[in-house]
Amino acid sequence: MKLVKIDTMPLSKEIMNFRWDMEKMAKKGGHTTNLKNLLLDAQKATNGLVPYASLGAHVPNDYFSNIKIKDATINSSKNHSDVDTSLTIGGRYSKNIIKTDVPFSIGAMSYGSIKLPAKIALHLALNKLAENGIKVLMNTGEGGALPWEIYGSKKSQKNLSKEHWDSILQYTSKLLKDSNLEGIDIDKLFQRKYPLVVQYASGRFWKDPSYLLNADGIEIKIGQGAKIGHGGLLPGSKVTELVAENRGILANKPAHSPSRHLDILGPEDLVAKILEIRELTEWKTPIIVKVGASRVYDDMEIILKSYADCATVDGLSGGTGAAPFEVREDIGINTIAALLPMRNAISDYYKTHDKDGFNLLVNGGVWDSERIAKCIALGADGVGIGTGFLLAMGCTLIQECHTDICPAGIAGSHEKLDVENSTEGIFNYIKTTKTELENIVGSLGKKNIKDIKSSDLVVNDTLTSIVSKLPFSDGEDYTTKIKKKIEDIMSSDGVSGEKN
Amino acid sequence: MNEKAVLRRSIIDLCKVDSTREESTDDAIRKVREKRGNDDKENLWDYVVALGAQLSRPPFDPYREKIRLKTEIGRKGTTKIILKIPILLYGEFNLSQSSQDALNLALNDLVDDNSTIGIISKGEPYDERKYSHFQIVNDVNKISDPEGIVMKYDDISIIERIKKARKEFCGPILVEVDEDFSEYTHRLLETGVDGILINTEKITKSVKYAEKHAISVIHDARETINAFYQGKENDGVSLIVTGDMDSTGKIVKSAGLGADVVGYNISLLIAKTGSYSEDFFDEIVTAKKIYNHMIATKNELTGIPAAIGYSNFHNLSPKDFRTSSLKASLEGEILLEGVNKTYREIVKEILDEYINTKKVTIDQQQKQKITEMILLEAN
Repeated sequence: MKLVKIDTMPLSKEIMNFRWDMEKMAKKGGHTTNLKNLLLDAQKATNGLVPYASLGAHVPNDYFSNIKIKDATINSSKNHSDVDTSLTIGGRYSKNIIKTDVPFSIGAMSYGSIKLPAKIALHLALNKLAENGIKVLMNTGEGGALPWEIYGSKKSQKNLSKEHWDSILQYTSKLLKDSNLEGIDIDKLFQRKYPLVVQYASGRFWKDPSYLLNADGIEIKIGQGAKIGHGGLLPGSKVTELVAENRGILANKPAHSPSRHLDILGPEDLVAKILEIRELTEWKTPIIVKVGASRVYDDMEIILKSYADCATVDGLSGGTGAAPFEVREDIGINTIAALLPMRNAISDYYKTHDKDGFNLLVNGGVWDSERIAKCIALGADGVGIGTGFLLAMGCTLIQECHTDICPAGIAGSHEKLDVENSTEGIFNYIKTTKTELENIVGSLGKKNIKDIKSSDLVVNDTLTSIVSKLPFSDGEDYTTKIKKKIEDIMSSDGVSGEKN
Repeated sequence: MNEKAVLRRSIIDLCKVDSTREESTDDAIRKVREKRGNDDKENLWDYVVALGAQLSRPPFDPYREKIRLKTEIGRKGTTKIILKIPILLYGEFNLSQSSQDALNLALNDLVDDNSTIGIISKGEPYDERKYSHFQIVNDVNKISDPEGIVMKYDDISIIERIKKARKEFCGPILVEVDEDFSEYTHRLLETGVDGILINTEKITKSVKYAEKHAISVIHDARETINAFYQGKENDGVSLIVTGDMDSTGKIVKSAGLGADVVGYNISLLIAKTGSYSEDFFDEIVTAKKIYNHMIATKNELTGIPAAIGYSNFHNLSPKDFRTSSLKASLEGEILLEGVNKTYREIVKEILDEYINTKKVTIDQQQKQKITEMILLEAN
């Protein structure tokens, strides 16, 4: 893993030292929020603009660490490689399905929000994993797909005119040259061996239908956890000539996508949009609808009744390349808390409908095998991971992805990301996470990741028990515990009741 | 080691060749939390979030559509004050002349930019002002020429002073109340005051609200006003909340819980934006910074209701918010995220179920006592 020295960053050392001092002071005095606010206030006073932030919200309670998987281990001396960790998406209405070997995907991270070397590292790692028998799903994010993602198969290249193909190669050469990556073998680059889901977002940052037609899945993005109800944003400083060319927008201007699809204002519009895409793709391609976690039950009910194959729900701590600070922090609910209304909506729907293979994916604060297993036990079929992959590439969690000062060279920097090391990091991260998942499932005496159930989980506090409906380690849930307290109070001198 | 560092180390461990970890990220986070104990000061505001709009309710677009922030202060018959941003700068202490000059400049510029805010101050109003000034007075004979006045509640004799002021003054009269506001607010409203001002920072330091959060004070103040208007229409009484309002998130959340206008601490604003050198305070630069700060805040204040699905900031209500804290749920009657019930409602439901199953008869008073005893533990 390449570590970037602090003095190579475009920020002055004094500013960085100031930031660290502030953080130290904050920890000492327990006033993190106030000091963070001071920095934001200084920004507001200087330029009169809304302060932006990146990655996930600072969530004081995400419940994950209050939940334990009973009797499971991530680290086993036994070999559990026979455990099935695969995930299937689609088939409810689509003719095709997406099958992957792990129940997690690379979450939506656009070219633009992350730089080209990072996108290439993800691409190469997923190709290498596929060569090793592990297929992993990639989501493009809303900023369009890169040429080798759209035209990464012989089939997709077959019907292209020579002029079109030449223009694609010309743009690809420009992209590689701009990132000093001319050494990359273009023939190998244009061999996509993993399934790809493209996003259909309110900004429509793609240039022609081949974006949709060559994808293995299409995700209609209604919202995301970090900026629910706000729409996407790529700051002008990150809209380079090449990013602009890829998205079909003006360079150096911020790309604000509308807060809502101009043609999807409610349930009927969603159905119409899905049917439009179904017709375009001849009902072959799985369609996913993505929302941020807020009015979860109502949104899920609408998605279930549409012609979607799958829903993705993104929790409050779901990351972003850029969002208004206050929107990121203050809108949306946590992933674990959202899983209960998701489950309720699904089970209520299927009380009156036959099971038809609807899938549920969740994102937001999911980083490792244990968290993946917890989400699946609570009703998800799979999860999306973003921050984890950034960390695998050397992210320092400085949370400046919305600026151009990423010290790791992932979201923007003068430093070049080490593509080879990053590819290796991502490869190992996925392989090890798969092994840990196999260990968790195997140590529970099960053979399939889908067999992990909520009965395998316990909690250690009342609130987590309430929002997840999970019991404590003694087997009692919050209802039983509160009833016992009632009994104690009634049997003590406090209150006496008469039996009917 | 903080949680960010734990996460980073944990993922870096995963990136090593063929090595599963000794402990999961959550195991490591639990250890850090156990070691840290309860030293962290808990700010309940951080545990309150709003619900965004998507499929079940479309969001507005703050870049392309108008979001209304306009607020009127003043009941029927009073000369109303109009704010274009629901903020009154609030300062109890005497500011230096240069700070006051900077504020005056900034506030006038904000009016010119259709972003009017007002000020509550002990100082005398500037002659050349375009904005509204609420003067803090206790002696009604000392009213200068403000658009509104603020009187501080000391005892119930204030009623007579309010009546006297009302005869001579046609602008809004606000009363800053103390922790016992629930006992006498109805009398103030009957007398015709136009708004109740609560300073959450002061009130949470009182014995009555010891260990409680601003959320609790705002909730109780709104309930008190609502109780006065039960069965009749509110004729324009405003709830002005000041105290720990130092971020847009808190302004939005307090508005959701019932505040109509937020009092932003002047001293804090000057401290945040002031341009100082060793012996020089630059009024022009500071004025520009105050102006900038308020414009940015205005844009934030339009962005959040738009994302929640409102074109009017004042449509925010408690039902748009959820919490991930039992304490916040109890203090502000805020619904818990995911389950959409308050903790109090959950306990009451369990108690009712227990009573029905066990077939016991207890009266309302006993039920209330049991509920409170259970809730006390979470609080």
